[in-house]
Amino acid sequence: MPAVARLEPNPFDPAGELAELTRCAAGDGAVVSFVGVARDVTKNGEPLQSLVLEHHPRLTAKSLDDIASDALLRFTVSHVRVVHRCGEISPGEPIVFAGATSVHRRAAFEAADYLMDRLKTEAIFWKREEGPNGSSWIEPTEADYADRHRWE
Amino acid sequence: MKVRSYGKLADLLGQETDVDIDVPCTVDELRAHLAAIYPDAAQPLASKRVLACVGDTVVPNSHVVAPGTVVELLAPVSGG
Repeated sequence: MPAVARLEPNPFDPAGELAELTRCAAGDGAVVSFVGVARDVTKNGEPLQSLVLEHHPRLTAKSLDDIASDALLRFTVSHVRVVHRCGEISPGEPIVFAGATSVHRRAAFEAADYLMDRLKTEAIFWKREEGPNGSSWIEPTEADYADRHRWE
Repeated sequence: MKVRSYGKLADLLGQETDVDIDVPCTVDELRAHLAAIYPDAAQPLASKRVLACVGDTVVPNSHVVAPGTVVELLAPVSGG
């Protein structure tokens, strides 16, 4: 499958995802990937106990599929792979893997960049930080929305 | 009419809310109705970044909702 998107309720191994993407991309000259990791402090600088990603029972998986498929259509890439955690995530655990492969590097870099800009603002998740003083919702910043608009 | 809320909206409205509207209304009117009942939620309910969905499809604020319909309100989403 040239576009793979997976909603993952359990911790995953980004190196394994990269290996699988690379295996699929035999013949391509470029493999680009990004891994987002849960930080160990909240936006307020307090120790993060956990990051919780709530999801929609149907729309979340569809949003990941749509974003991965759109990247495949938009750029001259051979394969796109998105893996996104949901549920409770501990500091240091991977949240997202986004990768793309292509014959030459530029398309793969752009596709990975595009994937992340769309995931930040359009993937159907509600993100909550749990810290020592309770929980707080995290929404995209204006910079995140501006990054997304670059592709319009 | 039933409203399911997600994200911070669920904190303000509850995850599932029965709304006492027995005639068709637009999504805009539904948002205003909820804002009157839950003043703390008025600001997010007015935000264009809060999406309304019917039958797993995002609908515009002009969409007319029939009584008995389930409307889902999605607080601003954020992955990555």
